[in-house]
Amino acid sequence: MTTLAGTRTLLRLGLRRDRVMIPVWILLLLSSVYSTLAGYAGLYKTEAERQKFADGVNDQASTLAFYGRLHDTSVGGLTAWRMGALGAAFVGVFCVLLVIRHTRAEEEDGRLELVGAGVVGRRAPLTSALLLTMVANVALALLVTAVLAKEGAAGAVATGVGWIGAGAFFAAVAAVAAQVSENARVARGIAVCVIGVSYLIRAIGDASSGPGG
Amino acid sequence: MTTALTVSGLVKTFGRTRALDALDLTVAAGEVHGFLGPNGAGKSTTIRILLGLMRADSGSAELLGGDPWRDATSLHRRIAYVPGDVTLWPNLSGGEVIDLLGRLRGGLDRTRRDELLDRFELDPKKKGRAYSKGNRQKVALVAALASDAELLILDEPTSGLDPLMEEVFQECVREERDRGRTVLLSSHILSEVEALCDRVTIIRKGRTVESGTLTELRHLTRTSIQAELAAPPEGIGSLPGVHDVAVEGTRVRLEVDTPQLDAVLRRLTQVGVRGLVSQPPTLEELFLRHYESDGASDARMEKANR
Repeated sequence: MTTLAGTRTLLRLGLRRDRVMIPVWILLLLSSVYSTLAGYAGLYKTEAERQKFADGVNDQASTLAFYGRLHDTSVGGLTAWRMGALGAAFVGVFCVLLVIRHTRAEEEDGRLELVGAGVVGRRAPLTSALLLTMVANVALALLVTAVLAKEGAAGAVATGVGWIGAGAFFAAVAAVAAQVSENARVARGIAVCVIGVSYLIRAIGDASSGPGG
Repeated sequence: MTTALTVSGLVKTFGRTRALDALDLTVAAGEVHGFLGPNGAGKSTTIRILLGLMRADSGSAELLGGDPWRDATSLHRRIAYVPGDVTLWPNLSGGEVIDLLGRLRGGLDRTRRDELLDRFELDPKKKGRAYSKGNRQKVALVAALASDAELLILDEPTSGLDPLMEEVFQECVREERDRGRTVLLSSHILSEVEALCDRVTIIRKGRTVESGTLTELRHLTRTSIQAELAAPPEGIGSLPGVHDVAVEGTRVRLEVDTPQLDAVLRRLTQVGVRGLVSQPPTLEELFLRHYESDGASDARMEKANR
């Protein structure tokens, strides 16, 4: 398909450009998950302690609003609860930054013109930007699943899949924002705003589910 | 004459600004064609349309026998482009960018690439962020010149190059022409166009104002003459096509419309010429006169409207 010509070369270019930035983001997110996990493991050693913690959380509207309901009282469950929604928002930001960086910002800086004069199909730049973002997103999800795996495989996979979903959704939001805005800063603003509003809607939903419910 | 590209009646508007207003441009295969105009005349817009990066509102454009918008991908294999303001990726080296641009065009000649790096004295190992404007320009130039494209589209490619590199650039363009490639060189540096171009198109406010060979265009200009004569000249100012006459004893300075040059010289030799300095019309003057006359008519219009 000629509209996609050059996608592979552009994907390689993107990976080469972000050879430092993507690993740093992934490491930061992973280390925050790992430190949360280690923290809970050290803090609440018994099931009873964790249950007490969970009851406290689920009874309080403010923590419900911020982190959502705590369903699983294993150490892995606590970690997934603590990092689930908040982590997904960060994954969203990560994906938004990547997509805008490789679409609107490239065009704004004039580099897209240099690239576009080559054998590059009209859909190749956006496609390669989304592919790159998904490569980073899936790599992050696999690693977070691996970090959580020994606390329960099913929960670990669910967390990873959740992050992939959040990343893919907000990458798509960013792709649309890049099309409708004239410069990268506005595009980032729109996409991050959508993340904020999504988080708020979830917070309202979780908080109004009521204590104990 | 086979044509490499033909543009006629091209119109492009951005909101209420009319960037191109029925622009015409024809470039023959194998020639170096100068595309001249002041900043904002529509040179880059025309080039973006030719590259299929933008769509014209109306008018037609044909490039190497194809449609610049519809056949963009296949045409780009045969075109190399250098923008006037090259931005590179800060953490990629110049060499990486040259290879990338080569790959995007379907390969480049490695020996030629290395030779060009040498001639332009460009260090390919430096990162994009460490290059000066001139060096970023060289990166795009090396990538374009090392390709085997049939058509080079250069949009003010020498902005930021020092005079020495400008010389190298001119040599390279001449070599490209000798290999039978076509070059569209947009510029507002007149000496560059005079040195390189076979034919020139001058545009202003999105319209073509003049197109032809340099010789043809020189007919529109004046040659300036300074002569030391045997006796004071008489009545020279009344000859047709003579302007700005200044006589000091036996010295005379004047400007003459190039077509009337012969008659004026004949008159001078009748008096007896002791010394003569004549300056050919420069493109600069051609340019200025175009703009002056346009500016004057604009001013008149404004007055009339008031």
